[in-house]
Amino acid sequence: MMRLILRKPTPIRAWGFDPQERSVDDLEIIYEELLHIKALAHLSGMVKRQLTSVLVFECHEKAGTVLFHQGDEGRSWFIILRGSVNVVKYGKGVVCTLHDGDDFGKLALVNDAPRAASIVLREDNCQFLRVDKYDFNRILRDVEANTVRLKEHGQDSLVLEKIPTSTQHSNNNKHHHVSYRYSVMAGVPEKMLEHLLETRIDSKYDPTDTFLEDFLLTHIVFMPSEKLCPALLQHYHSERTSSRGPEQETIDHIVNNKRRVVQLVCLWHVVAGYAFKQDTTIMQFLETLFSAVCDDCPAYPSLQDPLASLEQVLKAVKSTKDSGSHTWQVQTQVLSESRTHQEDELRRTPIKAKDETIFKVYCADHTYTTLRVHMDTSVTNIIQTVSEKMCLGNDLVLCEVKSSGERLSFHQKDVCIATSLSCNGRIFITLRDHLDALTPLPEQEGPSEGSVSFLEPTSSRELAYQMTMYDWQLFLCTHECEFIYHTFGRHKYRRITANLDVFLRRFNEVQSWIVTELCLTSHISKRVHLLKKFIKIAAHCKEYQNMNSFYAIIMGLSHMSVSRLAQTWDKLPNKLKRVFSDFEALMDPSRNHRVYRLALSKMRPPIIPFMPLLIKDMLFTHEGNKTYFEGLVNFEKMHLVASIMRVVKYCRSENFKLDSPPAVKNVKEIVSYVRNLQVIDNTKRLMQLSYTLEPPKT
Amino acid sequence: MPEQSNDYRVVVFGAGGVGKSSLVLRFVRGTFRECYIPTIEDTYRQVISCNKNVCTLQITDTTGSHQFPAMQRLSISKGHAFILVYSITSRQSLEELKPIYDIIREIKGDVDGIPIMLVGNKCDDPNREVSIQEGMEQSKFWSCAFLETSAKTNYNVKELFQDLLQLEKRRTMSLHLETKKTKSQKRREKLKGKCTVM
Repeated sequence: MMRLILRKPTPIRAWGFDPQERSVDDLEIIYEELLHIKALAHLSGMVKRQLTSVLVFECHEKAGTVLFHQGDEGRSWFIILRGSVNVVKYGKGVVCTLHDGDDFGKLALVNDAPRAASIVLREDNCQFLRVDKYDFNRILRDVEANTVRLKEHGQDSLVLEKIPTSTQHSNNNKHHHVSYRYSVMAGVPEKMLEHLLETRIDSKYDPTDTFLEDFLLTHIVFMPSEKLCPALLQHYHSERTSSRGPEQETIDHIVNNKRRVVQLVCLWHVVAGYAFKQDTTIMQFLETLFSAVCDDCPAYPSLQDPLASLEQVLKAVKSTKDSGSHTWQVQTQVLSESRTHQEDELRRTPIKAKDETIFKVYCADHTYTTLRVHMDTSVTNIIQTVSEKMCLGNDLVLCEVKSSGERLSFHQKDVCIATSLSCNGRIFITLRDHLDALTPLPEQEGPSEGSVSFLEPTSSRELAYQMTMYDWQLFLCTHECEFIYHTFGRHKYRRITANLDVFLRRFNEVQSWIVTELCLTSHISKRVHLLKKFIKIAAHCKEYQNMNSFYAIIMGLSHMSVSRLAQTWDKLPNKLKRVFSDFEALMDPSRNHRVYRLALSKMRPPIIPFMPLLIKDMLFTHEGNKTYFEGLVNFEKMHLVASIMRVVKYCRSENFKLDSPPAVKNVKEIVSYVRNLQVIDNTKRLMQLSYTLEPPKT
Repeated sequence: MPEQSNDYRVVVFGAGGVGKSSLVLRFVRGTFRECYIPTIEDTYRQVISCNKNVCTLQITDTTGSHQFPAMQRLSISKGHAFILVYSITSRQSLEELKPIYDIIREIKGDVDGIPIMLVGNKCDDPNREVSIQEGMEQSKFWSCAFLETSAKTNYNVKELFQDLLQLEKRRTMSLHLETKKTKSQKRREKLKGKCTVM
């Protein structure tokens, strides 16, 4: 019945006819029919009624007919009334089969992208309903399901969700619709990569579309380079797999495909930065890809440009590859680099996985052995080495003993443990059963004398400036990926987080330093002077937008052993008391640190963000969201993770161009002081000191 | 810091993976493990009644703070009530609460008037490592309240917050949603009745 009406007036006129000539009764009958079509089930009655006047019936007699080709412009949306079709992709063959009631062709319409696959009839006499692009946009674009699921071999392989994008740019266009974009919500890694290559490489730059960047920032979680590299090579060579088939591939398609792979690799290099150079898989892959492109150039001359960009990447990677490895010494507190060449001793370089680290491993009786191992040496290997050196026996554990006596065992697979220690923590080794017998070394107590005599005559501004310069370097050395390793577990990826560790520890160091200095200053007037100085340093840090040290100082001043010193606070000038209470208000944790977040949103880079909160956001995102669901990567989580990494990127998108304070004589001394803070980090000891300064009133 | 009198802060502690966020989300949103954006400040707020006035219950999740003692101290010093969560599938997670409890005592001094609830989460999980008795003994030792919950099955979640608020003796606190829930439930029951008639 319906077929007759739809085909009316005659099948021959079908291509040119105007469906709006259908009578009211015809429309009613079509409407009744539409109610039974699966692909339309989610649409409202209103939309179905609108569709009745635009649907076109289309019938094809021969199996094997191609309805449209991959790469074609998308002109219509189709619903299968009767029959079945194969969805065919270049290089992959048939990826799925669709039957009665299924629909296809939507994605190219909403994205204004070329067809992502070809549609080939599986049987004779297939019947379709067709909605052309103009009508689709008019009726369905805004109401169409917010979620698009692409299937391959009967399984969801990519889930996209419609999100509105900014409409500012489309004001001049005549398009009357709001613009939308499909954002990847979940997917199989390989399918997401394919989607990325097909839709994101050639598209115009859209600042709201972060799929490409997010994929490259987070791929380690779901598609580490060991998988990503071969997949890219496979894409590059995808014409080979299908050359035996009768597919009508054009040279254009092959070249475009190759070019996109090369372009993606170049972008990957931009995003990954120095991490590229440290990954041997990537290095090998670059060589392989480069020679493949070289080989292809004679056949496809238009690959010359991509080849040139790839060559640049290769050059860039190689030029810095052999800058030499460094040795890092875990001294009393800070990880300092022991350099053989004295160039610019103030500039730090990032710690790399193959750099060596020197540290001591203690036994229960406080004897020790000194180890020199690579940063990425695992705990298991360290235990083995120590055990051989000291003949200790089996079932050993490696652990950190904090100054408070707390013991934390290391995970067997963990790496770069030397940088992950707490301020005065030390590495111990012991038999598993004897863990409880470990006690901290006397040196872990920290200093017994403060440095008030040094601090008193030194300018607060100079101190804040040198602290900020050091923090900035630590921040710059931290790679965005370290946040991922830190959050998802570095032992899983066997990647080091040494730079991040050192930077995060800096927060605790500065905080403890404040408390230590105040608690070690027995003379009250000197203590008041120091208190003033610290508030002033905090003010300068805030002015420099060094929020990390700013918060560390304020939290140090709010530490119980300091805040309880009522006599000291009493003698603080009122003006500074007010300044301090303003600062304390910025620390308010209410509504997930709303005050700080608002303040941060008003700042322009360069900024050194308040790291503990950034780490908290990252962990929240990780613990609150699953990485996989129903076998697909939860890419929404990756978007969230990447957005936090982008905050890091944003904060350091401008370099620090601070005017250094007027030159002082002892700059070198100040620099070395702020980089080697000696602290007490045992709260019990700090409280004891505080009680001797001002005994409790009882 | 100016104390906002109409805020009541509950601080949730617990090792990674014990289900802190799930518990809180289950309570605040009534859902289990939905996609969750951490930086939205409203995520963890709920309006409750306090001394017959409207008050905001703020829940501070302390994820990631173990690395920064100063952050832990900050949450504790600003907190009014505390939930200590472990997973009944991990004895280690109960062990890890001990230093936290010590810090709370240290900062708050006298813990007697302070609502503290020890919570054994994941009680739907068959791989139990910590028995109910052990949990109860620990809570007696700390003289705090104790409950087992499951964020997954929504077991004891509302009760947890309800009981915690009742431990607060300095103010009269109660979850505001009580009356609302029953109303909507009644309505639903009414509707159900109609349906069966039809």
